[in-house]
Amino acid sequence: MADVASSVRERGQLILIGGLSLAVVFVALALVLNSAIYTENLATRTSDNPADTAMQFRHDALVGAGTVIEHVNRNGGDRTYSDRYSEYQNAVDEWQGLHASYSAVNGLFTEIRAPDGAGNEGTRVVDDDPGSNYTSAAGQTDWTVANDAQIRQLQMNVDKGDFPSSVDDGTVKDTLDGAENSAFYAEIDDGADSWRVAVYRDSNTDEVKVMSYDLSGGFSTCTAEGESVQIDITGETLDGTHCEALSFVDDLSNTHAISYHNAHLIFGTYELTVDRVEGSFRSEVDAENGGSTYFDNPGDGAPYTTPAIYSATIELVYDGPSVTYETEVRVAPGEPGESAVAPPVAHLDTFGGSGPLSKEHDGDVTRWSP
Amino acid sequence: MRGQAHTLEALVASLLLLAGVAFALQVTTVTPLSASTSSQHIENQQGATADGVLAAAAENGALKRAVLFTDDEGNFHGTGNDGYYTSGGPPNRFGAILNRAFESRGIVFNVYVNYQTADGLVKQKRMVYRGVPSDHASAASKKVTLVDDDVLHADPDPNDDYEVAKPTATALDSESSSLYRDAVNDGSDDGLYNVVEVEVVVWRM
Repeated sequence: MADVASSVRERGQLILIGGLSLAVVFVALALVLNSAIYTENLATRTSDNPADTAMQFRHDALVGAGTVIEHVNRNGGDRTYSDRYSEYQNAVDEWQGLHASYSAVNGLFTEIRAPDGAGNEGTRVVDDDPGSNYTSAAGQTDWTVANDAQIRQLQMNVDKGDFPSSVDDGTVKDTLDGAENSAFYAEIDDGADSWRVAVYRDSNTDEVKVMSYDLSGGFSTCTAEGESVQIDITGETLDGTHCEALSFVDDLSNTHAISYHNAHLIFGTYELTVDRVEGSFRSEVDAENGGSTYFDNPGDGAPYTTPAIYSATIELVYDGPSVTYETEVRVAPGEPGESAVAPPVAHLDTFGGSGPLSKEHDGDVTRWSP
Repeated sequence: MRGQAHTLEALVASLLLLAGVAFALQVTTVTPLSASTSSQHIENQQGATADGVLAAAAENGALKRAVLFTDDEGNFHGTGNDGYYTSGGPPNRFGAILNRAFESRGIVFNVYVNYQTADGLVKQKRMVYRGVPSDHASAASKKVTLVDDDVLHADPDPNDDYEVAKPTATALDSESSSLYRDAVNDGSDDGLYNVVEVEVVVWRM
């Protein structure tokens, strides 16, 4: 009896303690499991990156202001630059009001301002007569379109049926080499390098093709399907899709010269915008070509020039719950390569002497001497 | 006497154990998404894909052309009485991009075009509507700027692999078009027609 009693007494409350400790283990397990689940839940929540929305707003504002600049440049006949700029400012104010309503729904404050005097005057060169060829106003077939200027938005629209003749690739290569004159090509020269872009109708496949040549043996071609073709040289696209042959545009540095060769072999429309003021631009190009290059007003003929906004600076403000972002961006739709660093020459006076000044570049500085 | 004490001890121990197990089981976290087939990862990924689709379409102009892909009365081409597409993206480049990004993965999308009217209201025009989105849908949006001389677009060339919509001659501000009309701008001479927002809502089927 005593033995049984003592063994029972030695066990104590073991069952109770065993049950208690098991219960504590289960609760601790639940704690650990909970923290694992909650950590994963926290980790997979969208970060709702506010910087993302701020960048999107910046992009939308750039595109919106660019669209407005293009519209203002395209319309209104031969209006002056300041007329166009004030219309652009009104449009940006309206854009601001519309965009602010959308942003307010998401709890954001966005503002875009086009301050006075924040634009750069330029010139728009247009040939909008689809039945005309690409010769100058005086009828020259090999002429300089722009000399030593920053160029943007160089676009051409041609119809396959309007080409006077079809040529094959080999002839075009010879033309780009300089051995023949059977296809239209545009030459773009930025002082360091030169490229030639030919636009022609292929006699083998009967499609409009673009061939580029970098003057050191490299030829590259793109083809467009369809009847009417839009070639965006500064945007590097052919009918809206990227064209590898035009990818040299990325390498263009600040100012370039564009000339057309065999311009009687292509019919259609084209346009480009340069960052030079209309008056001095026209005189310099006329001097280069030795004759009248452009008509003065739309309606006089093709091609003509009008004053235009080349680029503008807008101020952006983005105010969100956790991010405030203010910046100034430069809008220049369709501009290739790096941004322009050369200051625009608005006016030039010569004193004494006679004849034009000669210009030389010395790094970032431009020197003028008689 | 001692027997009853042992029994009591065993009873209390088992009660304690049971209570501990019951407490541990009911304290386990159930997150809001634990019971659904859609996880947070998938929602994030779909939202990011929709963002990417809109950015790609805006970059090559397909988004603007799709917004203007209507006839003179403002109905999208080929939609019949509804005025919106119900079986996939529209028959242009933007629709091709949407279909390629979403259709093959069993993801359904709605596309709305939001625009403001003169009284400051935001109206919604359906471009693609395939049903009420589920609770786990994600959305992305992008703004498109329209100016007065933007033209309506028509069906693309059947030979065109890229399905680029062709421009017509009807400008937005002409008499025959009342698309996305913001009446406040009638008579204003600054060229801006309206700013519309394209919203893509995606969810798993």
